[in-house]
Amino acid sequence: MANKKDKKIFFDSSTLISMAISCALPIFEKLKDCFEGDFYITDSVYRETIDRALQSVRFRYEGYRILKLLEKGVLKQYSEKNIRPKVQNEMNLLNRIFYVYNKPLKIVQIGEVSAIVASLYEKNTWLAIDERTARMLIENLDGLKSWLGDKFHTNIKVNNSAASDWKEHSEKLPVCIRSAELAVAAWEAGLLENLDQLYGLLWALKFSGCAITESEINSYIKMLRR
Amino acid sequence: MRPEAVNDVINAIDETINALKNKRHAELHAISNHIIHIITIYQDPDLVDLAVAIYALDKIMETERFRTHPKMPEFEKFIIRNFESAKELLLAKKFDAYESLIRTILSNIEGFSKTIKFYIEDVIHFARIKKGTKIYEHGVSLGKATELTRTSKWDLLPSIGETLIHEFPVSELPIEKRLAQINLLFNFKKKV
Repeated sequence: MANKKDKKIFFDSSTLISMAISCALPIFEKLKDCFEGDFYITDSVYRETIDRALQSVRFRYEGYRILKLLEKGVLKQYSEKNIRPKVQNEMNLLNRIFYVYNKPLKIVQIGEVSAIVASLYEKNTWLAIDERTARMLIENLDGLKSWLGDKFHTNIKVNNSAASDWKEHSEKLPVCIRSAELAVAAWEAGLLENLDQLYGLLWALKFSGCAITESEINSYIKMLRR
Repeated sequence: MRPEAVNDVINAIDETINALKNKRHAELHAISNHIIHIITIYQDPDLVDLAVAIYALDKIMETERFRTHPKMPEFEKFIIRNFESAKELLLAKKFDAYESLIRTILSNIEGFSKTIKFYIEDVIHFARIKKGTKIYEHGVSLGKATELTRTSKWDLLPSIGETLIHEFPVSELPIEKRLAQINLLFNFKKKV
């Protein structure tokens, strides 16, 4: 059985970016102290999160703040060297599940897939991802088909063999967490002073791009008030 | 450009030229959104440049002060001429020349917006972010949307956060179960 202290959370760039934009990185750092394991980002997520921010003027400061987390060991970089072929295979698989007007819909790119694959192939892992589409691929493939159909105003064809292969893989993943769940964890760990702060933080994360609904925010607050 | 996308692109250019010639500027927004369908299917960044150009024009034209700017008639004629040339190039299957012309149109829109002191500092970048948000709404991943629009996740996430895209739940998983997952992940039963 895996050691509880060997837990790993793989972060997609969307979660780190939502937290950085919401000024929630100090909470993220404190949360690491409550966690019996390590926080990881893959090389691709490093490039999307840190390199891209450092290339821009607008987000450079946030980029440096995330870089500092790596320097302090709060975040660790995970080399993709060993999983690169698997990343490519999963990306090819995911990008041929849905067909729009008889054309395969290339739905994901390498950053998201590298975080998914790392959490699939490492033991005792969780995946933190804020963006909607990758989460739907993992949690609700049928729902994604309906969403695509509504948006393209057409019937979306599904490659059943690819979908079934993907479902077999994705079933091994735990439920994805978002920056919103990390905020709730911060509350549970006593890192926030009152529930209204948590409410404010959840909304800040939502406005920063975390895929959480207003109803989910209200449900969390209602449940934690009990 | 993907040859199978050419007819759709020509239609979009025709609609844009008509909207500009007939002063139906309000149609530009819908035309740029219509191209999003084509972009998401063919995944061609050069198609994004066309949608971005049309959307940037829409943003400039929607404000009366800019629409009636003394320099606008000359600029509008210039843009229409360029779109007509772009269509000719597509019909002649000169795709490289077409892509180069669309980039020229983008840089002219950028230059003009600075001349008239348009309130959005970088109208083309702004338009890329808005189109990226729309592509993400169509159901491709955030990473794909940034790749197609030549933006970053840093650019798109706050823009997405201002929309209702995330008001549609990802799955039926109840919050109770998510909370239980958090407690399991962080061993809170022991700590709290």
